[in-house]
Amino acid sequence: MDVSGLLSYLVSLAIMGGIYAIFALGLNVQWGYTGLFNIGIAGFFAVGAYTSALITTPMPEGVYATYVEQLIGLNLPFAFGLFGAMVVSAVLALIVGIPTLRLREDYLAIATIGIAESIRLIFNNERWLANGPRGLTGLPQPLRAWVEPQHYNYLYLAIVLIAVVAVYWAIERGIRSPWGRVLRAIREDETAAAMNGKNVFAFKLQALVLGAAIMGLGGALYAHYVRAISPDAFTPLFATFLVWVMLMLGGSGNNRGAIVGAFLVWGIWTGSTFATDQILPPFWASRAPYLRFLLVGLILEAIILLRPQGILGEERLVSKLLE
Amino acid sequence: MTTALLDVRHVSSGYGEMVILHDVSMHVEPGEIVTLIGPNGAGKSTLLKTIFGLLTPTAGHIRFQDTDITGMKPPLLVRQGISYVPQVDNVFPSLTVQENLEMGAFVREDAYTDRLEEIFTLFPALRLKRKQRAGALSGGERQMVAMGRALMLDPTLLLLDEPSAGLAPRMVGLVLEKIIEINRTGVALLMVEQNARQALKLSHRGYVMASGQVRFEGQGQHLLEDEEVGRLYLGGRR
Amino acid sequence: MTELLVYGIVLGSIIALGAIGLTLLYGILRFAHFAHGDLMTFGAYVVLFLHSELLPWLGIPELRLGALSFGGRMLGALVISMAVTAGLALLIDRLLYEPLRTRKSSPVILAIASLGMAFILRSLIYIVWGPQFLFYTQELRPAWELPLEVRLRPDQLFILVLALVLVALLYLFLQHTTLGKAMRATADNPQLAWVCGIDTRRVTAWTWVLGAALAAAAGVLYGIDAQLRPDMGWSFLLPLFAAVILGGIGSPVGALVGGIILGVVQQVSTAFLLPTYKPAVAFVVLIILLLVRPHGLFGRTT
Repeated sequence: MDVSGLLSYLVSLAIMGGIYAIFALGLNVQWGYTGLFNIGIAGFFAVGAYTSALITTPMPEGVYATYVEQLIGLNLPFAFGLFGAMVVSAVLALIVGIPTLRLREDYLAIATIGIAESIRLIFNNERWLANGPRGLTGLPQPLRAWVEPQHYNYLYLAIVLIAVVAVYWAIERGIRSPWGRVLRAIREDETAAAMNGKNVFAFKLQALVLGAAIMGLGGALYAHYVRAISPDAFTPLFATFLVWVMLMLGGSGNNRGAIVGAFLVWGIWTGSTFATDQILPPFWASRAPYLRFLLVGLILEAIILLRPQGILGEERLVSKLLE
Repeated sequence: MTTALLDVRHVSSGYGEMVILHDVSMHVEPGEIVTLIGPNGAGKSTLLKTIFGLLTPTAGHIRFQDTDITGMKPPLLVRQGISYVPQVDNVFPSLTVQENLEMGAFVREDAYTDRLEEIFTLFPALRLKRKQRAGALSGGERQMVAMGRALMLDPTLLLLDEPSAGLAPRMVGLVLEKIIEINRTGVALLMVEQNARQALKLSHRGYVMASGQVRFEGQGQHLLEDEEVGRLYLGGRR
Repeated sequence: MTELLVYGIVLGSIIALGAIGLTLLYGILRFAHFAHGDLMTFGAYVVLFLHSELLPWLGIPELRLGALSFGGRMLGALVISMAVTAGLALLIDRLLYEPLRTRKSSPVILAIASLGMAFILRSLIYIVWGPQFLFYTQELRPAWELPLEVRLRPDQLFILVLALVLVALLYLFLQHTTLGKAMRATADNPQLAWVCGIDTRRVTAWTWVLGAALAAAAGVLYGIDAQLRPDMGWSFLLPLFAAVILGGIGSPVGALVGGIILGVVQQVSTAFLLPTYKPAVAFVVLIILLLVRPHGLFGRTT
């Protein structure tokens, strides 16, 4: 592979790594800091991607309309898509959180699986919403006019990295604030926090919603990178499980860990794609994605058994008790 | 070598970093009733839990008959002949009375039906209710089930944590009567009791604990009559 | 509508078998076992291997059983699969969950570990058998025409009967054997069980054996009725958990009732919605349940 090929490979690696880093950061707010067990990341991922798609594409007209159906097509700029994605994702979190957050933590987990599955089914079967299984294509990319097409990915990488930094910075600020201290106290010892007069439910809901908004952002960035989305892109394996492994590997409760874990696991994922495509005979090559998932699953179990705090470990607590 | 059934020597114990017991020594002779009294937080329950392996001592030794049982866990201790009745959650609520007793006999390799009969003779009220769910019984009846369960193994030593806690006065008397009956069959008892006066009346010996240490030791009757003990620990208690 | 009801009961009995195992694990091991659906899938595929490959290769012929689409060899495969799946569950527990329990890991870590296990099992099935739908048999057995315009395939009647038999056997085990009572006692009060000297390792092992065997049976029965696909177990996860919660966590009777209700609700929903929406229907039932009566029908209000 020549240098420019290698370079563009690394750039796309970095873009996806960055997008996943955003998901991992969102999960970190929910799980790492607040102890919320969200296994429906795929749902927020999908909702973010689709919302942004629907906001930024025009309604299909003429001949095009016979092939593509969608609910809305606002044809608004990229930034509106991102913003809409975050808002709708946040609303979804409210829907899931309100019935479940007062109850046991595994009820939240089951509810998040449910919402992710339901969303996938709805988008897959309701053609009028977003074109059903064929999905939406030709999603616009921001600032395309600024660079030549073959260099566009560098620009997008910059956008993604800016987003990662912005989210990282926002969470870091938030977690060191009094609000953030409450979240961590809740994770440490919920009963103690409640006895200190904190409205545990409200804080948990805020963490869930904030994390979901971040995930929505990630979904939108994904959509505009790949330019075409369909329901089977948002499977539990690809969209939920991978993010959990990233966060657990990097270190839950640690923002830097989230980012490191994301790039590392994505690197392993694509690296092993490379290896399996080159090395394996045809039968095994068709099974390659599943081999990779097996590998990732084994990595997760290894982390849990051998080093549950992840590579970077949990951050030292800012404060254990509330003032 | 002592002839004591249970010999606790210089034991310190606690929960994690919190040390509750400091250098506690005490013993129980075969066939005795020994009561631990003292204010809340004195470490009485902690001592029972440490003896029964629910807590591991950080210092000291515990011997039972001729065996070192320091830190030994409950499944082994019940085979040695020690049974324990916790203060709360001491029955299986969704199991019947009879099933609760059967669970007490889980480690027995022989048939337990004879022993079951003996327990029903000791607690006739339970025989009538043998098919009822333990969770539906009154507090006093549950306490009987809990004690019966512990006795299924024919223990040599029975540890009781506040057997009369939360019971109506009439039930308290009944429970204490049962304790005397149990003792008459040869079982030694070590119990923690808040009803200090009544408990000391039927005890051979007692220990007064405070702040994780043994303050007084003596014959049950003597402790009852002792002025200082009375002033500090028995005042206001029935 | 009656037909939907009848089929709903058949589906419900499959869900119930899975839900009972799940609720045992919840009640006795205090464990949200997210890999339970994939144990179902595993059990189903083991039978596929035995019935379609190994047993024929060993020269064991099929023994036809009347109007059913399968015979004695299939039943033998089912029993073997239940044992194999139980063995797998024990192995996983020994290697993965037991070390975590010894370390006093939080229940959520255990749940995450089981989630990982779910994906590992599913990947293995994808690797060995691939993503396509598979069937135990290509034969079509005609349905019986019953009154009230109900058409019931003999296979479906078998499913119902077998499910009830397995549930009855489990009930007898839990009510009348010492180990069964010890399992109920551990579910009630694990600390007291320990204090009594109950062997928690044996209780744990038997809980896995029973839970996994029932899950395998459920998977096989579903395979007989519908088809095999690698993600079949995952799509059962929502109905399983909904049934468990509906019946009250830890209550096998509740899981049975909950399973049947979920099956019926899901099947009746196909009168208004596409069949693929069934898991979503289970989800809606779950949410309503959590809002209205989170401890379920037979559960305890702890």
